[in-house]
Amino acid sequence: MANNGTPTTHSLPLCAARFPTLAAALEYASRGETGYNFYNGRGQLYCKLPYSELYAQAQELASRLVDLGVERGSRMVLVAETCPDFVRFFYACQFAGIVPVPVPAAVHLGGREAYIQQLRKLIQSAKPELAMAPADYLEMLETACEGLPVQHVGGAEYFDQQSQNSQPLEPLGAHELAYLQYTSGSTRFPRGVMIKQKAVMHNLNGILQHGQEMNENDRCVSWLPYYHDMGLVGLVLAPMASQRSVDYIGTRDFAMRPRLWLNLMSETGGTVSFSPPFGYELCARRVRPSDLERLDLSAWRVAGVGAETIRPSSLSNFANALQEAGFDRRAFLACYGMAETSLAISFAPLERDVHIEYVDADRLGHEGIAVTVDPMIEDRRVNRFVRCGKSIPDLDMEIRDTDGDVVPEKQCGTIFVRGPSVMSGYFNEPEITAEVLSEDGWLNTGDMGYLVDGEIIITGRQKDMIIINGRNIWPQDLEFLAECQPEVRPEDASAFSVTDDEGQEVAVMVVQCRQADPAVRRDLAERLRASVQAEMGIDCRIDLVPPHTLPRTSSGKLSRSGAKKDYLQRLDIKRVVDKSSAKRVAA
Amino acid sequence: MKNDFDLLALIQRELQQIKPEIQTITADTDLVADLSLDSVQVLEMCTAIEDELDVSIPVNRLGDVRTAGQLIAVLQDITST
Repeated sequence: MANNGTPTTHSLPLCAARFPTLAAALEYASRGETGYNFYNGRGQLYCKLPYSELYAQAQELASRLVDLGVERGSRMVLVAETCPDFVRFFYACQFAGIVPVPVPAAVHLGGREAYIQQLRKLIQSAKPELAMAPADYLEMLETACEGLPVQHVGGAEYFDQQSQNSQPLEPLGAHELAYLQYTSGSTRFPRGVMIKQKAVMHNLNGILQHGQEMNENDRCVSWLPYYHDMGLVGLVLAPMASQRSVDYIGTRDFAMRPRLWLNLMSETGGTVSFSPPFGYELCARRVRPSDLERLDLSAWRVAGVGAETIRPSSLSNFANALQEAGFDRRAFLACYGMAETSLAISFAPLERDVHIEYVDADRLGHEGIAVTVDPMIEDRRVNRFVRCGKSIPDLDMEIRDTDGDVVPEKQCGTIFVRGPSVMSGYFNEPEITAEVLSEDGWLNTGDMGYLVDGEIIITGRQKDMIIINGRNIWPQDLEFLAECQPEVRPEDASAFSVTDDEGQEVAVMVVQCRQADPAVRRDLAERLRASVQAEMGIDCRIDLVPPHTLPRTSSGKLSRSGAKKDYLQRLDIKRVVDKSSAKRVAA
Repeated sequence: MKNDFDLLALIQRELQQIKPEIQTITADTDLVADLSLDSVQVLEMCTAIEDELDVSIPVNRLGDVRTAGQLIAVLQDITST
């Protein structure tokens, strides 16, 4: 290997996560030569951490954590920057009988206060005894913990200086938690998904054996954040549990220099990498003609794509731009999953490219039935959806209508899943857990979709559905129309419905607008309204707001429910102001 | 080592590359509110400045930065150490 990271191949036979716990998986991986490799913002390797070393380091640190005397099953919050300390602490927790809780490491320009508030909400929810942050985040973590009963808050050195306990370690067992995952829910009301060891091990086996068919020549590359389920389970735990090497660049470094990802794939001969669609889109926009001669992406076997809605165009832009560098579009692997099922629910078949379903948008909207159409021939409004494959083994999936009855294929409904990968519930939230997880183990995913040939197609989030005059309107459709305007970028629009004074449901779209000129703004709002009117046949209130206004979930997805709440608040303030100015006029 | 004036000129130049409609900025210009930069544009600006000055801006320092003057103070701080 040119860059001297851990090797891709070694003599240890591949075992696809057939272990009872993460601790046992790391013990097996430590017998080989592979491991984690960390690259800086210039794409240079700055740390290689073979699983053998990680295993020894994690056990040593675990004995120090045990000596702090916290109760078994206590939580430890880890500000999850992409760095060796995170993985060392994550696995140390496994050996110490402490449940790690990865939390976001991402501060925006001028966003210090917001970040501290977010951390504080997470800490109030997870109730940890211990909390660790890398140097850059430590002061903010300390501020966030002020007045909260966290026993030990510190940087890595603080915990490394503690004395070692001489008792034998008792790693977290198969029926204990593996970690708490704070991906789902909004930043204001975070929910900690409880994942047991046996759940995550089941899911890892499904990912490795069924989804990716991980083999002895595979090597992973990732820039996904460690605090996100896809980053943590898919690209930290899965490679370790299959004894493969991984090359990491920081999420922020990727966002600043997206081509680093491609460089790393090319340099290390990476075969497996995952990204939400926007990562592929960013690369497609930034790639330069000179890159194409330099890059060799021909080894890239699995280019995973996971996100709520996969927009086919972002993937085809990427494939077209990088075809010359040897990228094969059959590498695209659409998948579906969520933190509540550890990570994966389904994978499309390998080596297929994305399979797009074209369905009659009116019939889907009116009747909830997916009728396939040929967009080249038929003159109808068409929805494009990506097939996300069949569920992984032992995970049952069914689609139910609003009465709770299972519906046949091609009929839209709510997606339910059941099986060993499903969470035990939300931490300290029995009511919210009972709302989504039935006693017989079925999880209401909250997502809408339909099955075709046993494959799942996601059409949207149930709670986000807009129903106007008995017709189902997908908010994504409205947002897509907004993004068609030159001033509007992806993720600048959030659509939902509110009830007006007459009790009628009205569509609203909040759109982030960078233009200050009132005439330009009026023009944009008019164009948007007209376009929604023309395409969907409904009236839609357009609310233009400054950039960064739209609220996001902790995983970075736009939160439509959050946008709706903020909109109603703005409306209330406006009403009060209008009333008081009306009074003044009357007086 | 550059003085504050050089750094302000540099920031303005890089911002105009990203958003040509941006005119003269001052130390008091609020990068997010006045210039309506989104997070991708902020990172683009940081990338350009990092490349120009051959420095790395620590992520935690950006949390306190709202104005061009505050960004200059951060840049002075990291180039002096």
